[in-house]
Amino acid sequence: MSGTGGSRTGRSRAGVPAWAVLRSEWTKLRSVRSTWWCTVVYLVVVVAFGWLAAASTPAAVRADLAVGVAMTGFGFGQLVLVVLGVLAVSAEFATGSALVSLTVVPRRTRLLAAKTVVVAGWAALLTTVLALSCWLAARTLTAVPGGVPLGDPDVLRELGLQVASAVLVTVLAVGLGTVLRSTAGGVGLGVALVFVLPPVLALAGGEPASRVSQGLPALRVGEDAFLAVPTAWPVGLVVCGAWALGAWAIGSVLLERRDV
Amino acid sequence: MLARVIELDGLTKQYRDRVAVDGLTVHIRPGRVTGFLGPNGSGKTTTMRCVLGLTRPTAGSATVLGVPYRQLDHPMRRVGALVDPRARHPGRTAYQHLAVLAQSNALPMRRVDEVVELVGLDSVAHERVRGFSLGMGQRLGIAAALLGDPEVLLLDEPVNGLDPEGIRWVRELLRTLAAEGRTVLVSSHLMSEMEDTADHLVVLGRGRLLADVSIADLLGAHAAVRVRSPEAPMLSAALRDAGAHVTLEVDGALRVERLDAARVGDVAFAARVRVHELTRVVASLEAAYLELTGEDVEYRAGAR
Repeated sequence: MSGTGGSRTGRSRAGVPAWAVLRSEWTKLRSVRSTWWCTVVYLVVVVAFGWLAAASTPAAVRADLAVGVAMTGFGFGQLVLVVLGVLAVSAEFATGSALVSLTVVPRRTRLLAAKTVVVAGWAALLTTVLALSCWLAARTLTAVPGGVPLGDPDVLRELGLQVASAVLVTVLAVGLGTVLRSTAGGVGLGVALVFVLPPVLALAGGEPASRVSQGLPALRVGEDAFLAVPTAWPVGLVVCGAWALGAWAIGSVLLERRDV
Repeated sequence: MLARVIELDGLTKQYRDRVAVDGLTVHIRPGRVTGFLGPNGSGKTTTMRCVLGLTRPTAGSATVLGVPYRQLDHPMRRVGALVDPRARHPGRTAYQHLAVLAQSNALPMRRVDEVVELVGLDSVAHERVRGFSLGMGQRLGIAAALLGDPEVLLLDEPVNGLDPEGIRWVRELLRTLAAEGRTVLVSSHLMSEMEDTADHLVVLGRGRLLADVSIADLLGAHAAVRVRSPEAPMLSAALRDAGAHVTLEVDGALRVERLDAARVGDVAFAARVRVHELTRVVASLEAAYLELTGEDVEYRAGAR
């Protein structure tokens, strides 16, 4: 067989090159309407909340606090990423297209990795644009001594954490979708983990409840958590990262082992 | 050329409460259309999914081109499969569906245009597949299977839902592909769909192999001779002495199995019996198939 597929990378032994699967997954993502609905809702919710919050905050003492207020919308908006991540996998099983996908790419972990890179990459791109819009809102509408420079390390950290949180939430959602293979189940569990349980446990009060709450992958990696028990951001990042990697790893093992 | 393109060795798939495939050992050869026949629920789909690495066998093995399917380097260039005509995202267009598949195996995009034209979906290529009929879904599935110009084709019930023109088209397509030296395995639960299509049959019943036979042999095994004589009882006795299996038909003629027409004539001459009619009866494939699977139908009306 003439290997036009292998010629581009020169690694014929590896068979189909990795970029091919990435390209295919990108076509999958952009050729369904749900992707564009999720994108529009994410953009509208975060921008609207951000500019409203910044407008109602005339002044702040520090630049990162002003930016933090403008990013309030992410607390709700990133729920969309749970839907986007779960759907990327569960829609394949719901429609039966997983049968075809796994036939043409029988190396299942590679397929899942490509899907995750594409969906998480899209989430990262959108979140970067949104975070910059939030920074712009804070700079425009909130008075801070010394202004709100983009180069401020604390401002950059705030913005970076949002992008990291978006990527981790999306990876977690892809993992949940792969484990549960169901849109309702995946979105339900995902929303419970990142949005419902953290504040519920915080309200329940008591030391054990708040410890558990801090161990959940709350949106915005625990920084300025919405009604949840606050966590230092490095701890929040590690907790969210562990959940995301854990769910993804379980998902990939199950995907390799289970029948379609 | 590899003589055993698809090799099943003791393939078994047990679900919690039933055995779907039970110790199946078959080799599928290239250059001919192999019909994979069996009643509904006899294990055809499970077997095909085991071959494609979608379903993990409980015991035994299935290989394609000498390796387990999941180890193939360029799956679509080697094996084309139609697993389920409904296996597609309803929101994508036919073109997008095929583009996703072509890209995943680094196939050139011109192949998408080629197969769309080949299966006759040009006019609806840019419509969402949500509104596709079962027949259009089958054509889309066949297009997907042909994308990589593969040497092996596995098609699960490809003519289900097609109109007569579509059935004839699939039949000619499969025969052409086999004539090019490719290996074609096509399943069906209807023998009538296999007539004039398959050269060889693999018949399943309740997950077990019932027959692995060429169409010619199957027909030969069920052929008979019809003979009419005014002295039927005498002729019948003489034929039985010669080793034939003889039954009386409603119009008084004798149906003779296990002897060919020439032998029947010779026996009659030797017994000095007058013969008024001597006809070779070609068995219908349908009758042969029903005889094979009669005991092994999983779901039968009125069955206990």
